[in-house]
Amino acid sequence: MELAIPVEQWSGAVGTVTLGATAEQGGTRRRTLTLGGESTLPFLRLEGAIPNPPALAMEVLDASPEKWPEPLRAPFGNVLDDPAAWAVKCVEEFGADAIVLRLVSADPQGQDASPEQCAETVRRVLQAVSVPLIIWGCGDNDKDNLVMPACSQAAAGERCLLGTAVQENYKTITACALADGHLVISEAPLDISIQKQVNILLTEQGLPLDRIVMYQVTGALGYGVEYAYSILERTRLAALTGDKMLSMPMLSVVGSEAWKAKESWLDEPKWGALERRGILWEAATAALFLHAGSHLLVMWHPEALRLVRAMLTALQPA
Amino acid sequence: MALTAIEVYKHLPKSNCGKCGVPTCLAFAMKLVQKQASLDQCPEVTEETKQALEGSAAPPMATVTIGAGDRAVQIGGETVLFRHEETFHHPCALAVRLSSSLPPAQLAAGIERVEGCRYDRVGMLLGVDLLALEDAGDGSLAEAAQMAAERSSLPLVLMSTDPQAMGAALEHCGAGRPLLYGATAANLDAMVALAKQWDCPLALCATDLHELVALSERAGQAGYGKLLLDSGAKSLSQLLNDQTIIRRAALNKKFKPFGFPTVAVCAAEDPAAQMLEAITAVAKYAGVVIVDPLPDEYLLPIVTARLNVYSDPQKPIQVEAGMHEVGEPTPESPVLVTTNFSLTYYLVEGDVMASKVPAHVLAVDTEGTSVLTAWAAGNFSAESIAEAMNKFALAEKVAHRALVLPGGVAVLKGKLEELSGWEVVVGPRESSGIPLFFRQRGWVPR
Amino acid sequence: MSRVRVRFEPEGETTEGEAGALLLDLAAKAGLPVRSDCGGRGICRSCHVEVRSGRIRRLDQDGAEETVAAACEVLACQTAALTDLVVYVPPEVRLCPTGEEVAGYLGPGAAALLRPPARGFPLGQRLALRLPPPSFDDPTPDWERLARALREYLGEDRPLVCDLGLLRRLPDGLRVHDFALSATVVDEGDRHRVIDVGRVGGRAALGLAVDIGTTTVRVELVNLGTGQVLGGAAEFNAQTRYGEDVISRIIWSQEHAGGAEDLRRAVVGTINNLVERLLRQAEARRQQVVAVSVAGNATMICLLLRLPADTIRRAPHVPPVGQPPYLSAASLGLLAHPEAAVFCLPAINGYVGGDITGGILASDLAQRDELSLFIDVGTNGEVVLGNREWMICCSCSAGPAFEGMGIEAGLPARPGAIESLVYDRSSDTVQVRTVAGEPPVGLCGNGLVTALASLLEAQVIDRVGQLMSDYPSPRMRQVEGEWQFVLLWAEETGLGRDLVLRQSEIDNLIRAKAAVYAAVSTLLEVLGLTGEQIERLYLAGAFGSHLDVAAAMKIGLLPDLRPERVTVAGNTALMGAYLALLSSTARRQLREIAQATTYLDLSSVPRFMEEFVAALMLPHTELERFPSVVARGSSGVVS
Repeated sequence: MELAIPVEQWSGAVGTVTLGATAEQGGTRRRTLTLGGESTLPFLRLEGAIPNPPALAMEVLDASPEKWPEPLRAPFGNVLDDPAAWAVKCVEEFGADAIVLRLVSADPQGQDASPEQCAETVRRVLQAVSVPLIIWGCGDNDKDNLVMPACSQAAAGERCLLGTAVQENYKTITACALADGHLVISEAPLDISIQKQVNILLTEQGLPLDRIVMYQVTGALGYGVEYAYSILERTRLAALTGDKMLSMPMLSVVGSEAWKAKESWLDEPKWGALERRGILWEAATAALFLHAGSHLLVMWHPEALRLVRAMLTALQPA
Repeated sequence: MALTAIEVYKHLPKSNCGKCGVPTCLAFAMKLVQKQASLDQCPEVTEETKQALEGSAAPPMATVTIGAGDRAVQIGGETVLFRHEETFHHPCALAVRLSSSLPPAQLAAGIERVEGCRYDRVGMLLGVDLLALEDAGDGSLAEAAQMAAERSSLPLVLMSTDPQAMGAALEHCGAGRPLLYGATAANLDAMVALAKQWDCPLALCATDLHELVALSERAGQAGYGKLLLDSGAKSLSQLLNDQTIIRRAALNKKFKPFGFPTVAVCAAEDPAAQMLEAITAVAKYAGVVIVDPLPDEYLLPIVTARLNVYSDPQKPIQVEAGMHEVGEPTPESPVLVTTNFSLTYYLVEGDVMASKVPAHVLAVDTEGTSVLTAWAAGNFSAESIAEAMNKFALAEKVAHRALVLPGGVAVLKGKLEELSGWEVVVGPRESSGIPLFFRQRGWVPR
Repeated sequence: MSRVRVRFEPEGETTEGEAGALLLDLAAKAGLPVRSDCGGRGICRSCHVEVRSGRIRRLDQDGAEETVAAACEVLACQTAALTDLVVYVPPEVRLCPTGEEVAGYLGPGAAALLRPPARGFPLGQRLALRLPPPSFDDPTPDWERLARALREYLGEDRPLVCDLGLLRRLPDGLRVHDFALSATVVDEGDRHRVIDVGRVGGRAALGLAVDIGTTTVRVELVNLGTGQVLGGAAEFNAQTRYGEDVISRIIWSQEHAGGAEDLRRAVVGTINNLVERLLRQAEARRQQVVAVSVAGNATMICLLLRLPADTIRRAPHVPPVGQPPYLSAASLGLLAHPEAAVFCLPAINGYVGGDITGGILASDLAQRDELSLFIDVGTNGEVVLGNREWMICCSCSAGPAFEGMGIEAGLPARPGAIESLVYDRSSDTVQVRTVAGEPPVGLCGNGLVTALASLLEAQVIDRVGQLMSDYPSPRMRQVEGEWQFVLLWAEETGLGRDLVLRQSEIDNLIRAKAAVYAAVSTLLEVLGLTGEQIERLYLAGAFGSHLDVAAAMKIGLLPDLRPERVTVAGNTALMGAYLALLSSTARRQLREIAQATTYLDLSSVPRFMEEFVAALMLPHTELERFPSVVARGSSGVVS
């Protein structure tokens, strides 16, 4: 019997989204980052092109992460209380494709930093690194609606990715992106329909499809990753079968989720060496998201990033 | 394409006799489509119907058993390419391989370690399923097999292309039905003979997909069907490619030579790279994944990934029943009660968070149903709430004695107060009303 | 115990009761039933009334007694009358039927069942007979003589029975009329029963078609010989006193001593009130009513029969009986000939009852080749999909929102309820049409549907129903932390306060519409069908009768179908009961329908939850399922 290689004929493709703007494009980035564009399943080259490999971003917090366990702090030395220096280290030493600046300091129940303070941090990080920037709010809707306009203006023209728009709170951030030439993260709580609903709401406000990146609340290996895994797979299949409203590239938050898992930090000798466990948990979580179809992973540990980068290389055809 | 319930129904007798165990032929058709029933449950089924429907109902991938007795593992029998389409049925088996030429003391230690690779995870034991012995080609396989058979209860994988070595090893462990890995173009006939003799599953080890087709057909012609497939992929990229083609050809094209589970041997030098290779194989269709004796911190992510990928996506998403903390509540913070249906719970949690008032949330086990559904079905009752209050020791966690009840089940108030002795405060019908409700009660953000 | 007189304003209806009686019960007795969403537990405050004078006891305040000097707002379910009182019942608290009768739809196949020979036998009939007098040649005893003649007349060999009373009356009966007489025979399925003999040409045999809805009970008085409807009447189901929905009532029946009897008595009381009124209007006698057919959901039938209903509530939701045996009116306490036959339309399942079986029969769904969808949105929503070959049904909890529950501005359809509401963005004005043209006091189901469609069109809400907080109109405002939209200003209403729609209420409505649509799409999905394949949609029930179909499609309550495919079918449950009353063929077909219809338990289908979430958008997350809505170009639709 002759083997006929079973090739699927997909009617659609993942859309492309470019983060960052160079000087010619009105920004100051030296590198831009294009996500998506595949007309096939993840890493499966037999039936379509994969013009842009998945990218790895690293996350920088604008307030020193007091609770990080030692294995996670170690590689960063003394930069954890300086977001700009932290970002530089991520890009130059660890090879991050983009920086996620998470404005945890804005949290009204924490430092309650002012919009101006946050905008200043955005400016400093933009000056310090030349890769695209992802600006992520503190998660408090009311506060983010004050902070995001200031940060957006501070980064006007840089084609930053702003996060996040949720069903209950999407208007301010979308207006910012439209006014200052940025992109928006469309967030959903592990539900493919709600993801599509947020996307529709954003586009009905006038945001084009190529300025939206999708984000399903993630979950880590062992902690619900399978729900996100299947939703990402389904979303990719929807894009390939022609659903424009689900065709945007997808982002997954890996580092913060993986390090929440007790396997990453609990002193339990039966689970093996503690100093490697968090790194491996992060890398393993990342691997599942890549196979599910994620385009942009937000990482914490540089060694995990290195391992995932090596896996991406191994997934290139020989 | 699978038939729809209506298409299947058209072939059924339409007598609604109920003898199949469901009241109507349409209900039976729906069961058939969901593979929850088989055609022979219908007493009136005709030959034509069988022919028309069973062609499409025959399993496209064989289920294969490795080992014998309690710890035998079943693999294969998969019906979908993506877990959301149904579920993946038989978790892939994880094998750890040891070289047969290890000195006896080391081999014994290795066997003991593999045997002990069990990780406790909320009441479940995850671990290694198979012990693989790799023939070092120095005549040591038989002795190693003997030791493994004596010291380990795990089913074995014998990795050798030498039929003689394999035969000798089988003398010691053949009764345990090990997986023979495997048959190549050169040794296929001898390996099939051994597999037949010992009634063992046999892996076909090819160098590419086309050779794999040929091996599978030869084994088939030789009358053997307990097969596993290894395409001999040399890179991670090739592994993903081959595994996908095999699964698709078997399921979508009913390509018989590929209607068996697969084997992936992970061989990357770097242990972390090997772990990621194994996770790739777990996610993308391998039936048996063979790795080196990696340290625990590498094995734990692999078995956890397998648990996640093979969990049933049809089950309602539940959160753990019990007391959950939102924010950082104190003994004075309010206590709300809801169900353990994740959508319901997370709505409540989100709205409590939005209120910025730290609180305790008691999730009652309602088998993952929402407040009103559970109430209607009697699973969210004054009794079940009172029981959960006791079970999760509410009285020890908070200093006050007031419980907030969802407004939709306000009717439970009296009975619950009677049973629990607590004050029951009727909260809003919709969780979106929680922030306002808190403000009205004078519960303020901290 | 002393008696008190209570006058209810503004009507001035006065009723008497014992001192200590609850205002809730007294109001019902006065014919002015008030809402009681929580079933009289003092929780929901939906029964708030104003006591203007007299002395009362407040059960919600530890039984405190007070003499009312100035008007005082109290809960009717928590307040007892100690002396004569004057009580004002605000309009939004009223429960009262519109009096407007809903005409039922009858498909041609169903209509044919009303004509001989297809129809067979009515449930009860009066037959004029002339028996040969006994002689030495023919000494057949009286009963056998009558039976022989009847059997010849009926043309069948089912056994014929009677009770002792009839045997005792028979010899005189035959001879008084010289062996020319009329016999009243009822069909009991496997046998006929003779319940009366009398003179030829006496009063006609009458029957009752009864639809016991969770909220409303409707009765038609029917001439069994001619099929003529002599009158119809409707009243709110007095069981509402014990809970708005079936689950609350089941719980009441289980958890209160004598609860099941309370509920039985309540519904029998409602039916008998209606029957009494109809008999009076038709100048007929109770003894003439010899057949009763009853359509109702399984819980309503259980409660009427005082069967334990708890198994309906618990998985797998099995009712104690699907098709009760033929019963006598006396055994149920119904106002009719004591031996009148009572036929209950068979239920498909605990959540899809005889009201739906009746609807399937009346609409002809089971007779046609075309794929039809039948939707009945009442207090619950039931959906049937099928054709001549197969039928499948399910139930979803959707209705209460459309009956005004959980929505302060919501009301059942009654005078003053807004049936249609249109908001105009450019002029910031609202136009309404109310039932009976009275000043608006709230919105009934269709009022809510049209309001939602209109607010979406005007972009007052976004596609997920969120009020646009920056909407440029004073109508958009935030009260106690929640956004709301003022539909009518106080002076435009009959309420004296602003009529608003709150965010949480909009969310509620969207969930209700999503549940109905998701039920439909889940049925299609499990069978591998698509919405375009639906050739006909029957909209049953009072809500369906007044529904603005275009608006309902605009918000995605109904699937997007061409208007000519939609049949507004009205009260098909009552039509089903009417058919059952008049035709033995109909009764047989009802049993067949109940047996052949597959029930799908939505909670066991994981897909339902996904369909539900996808339906939480207006009209739907999959916009392409609503091509005509999108094509009509409601604002801001993406291409």
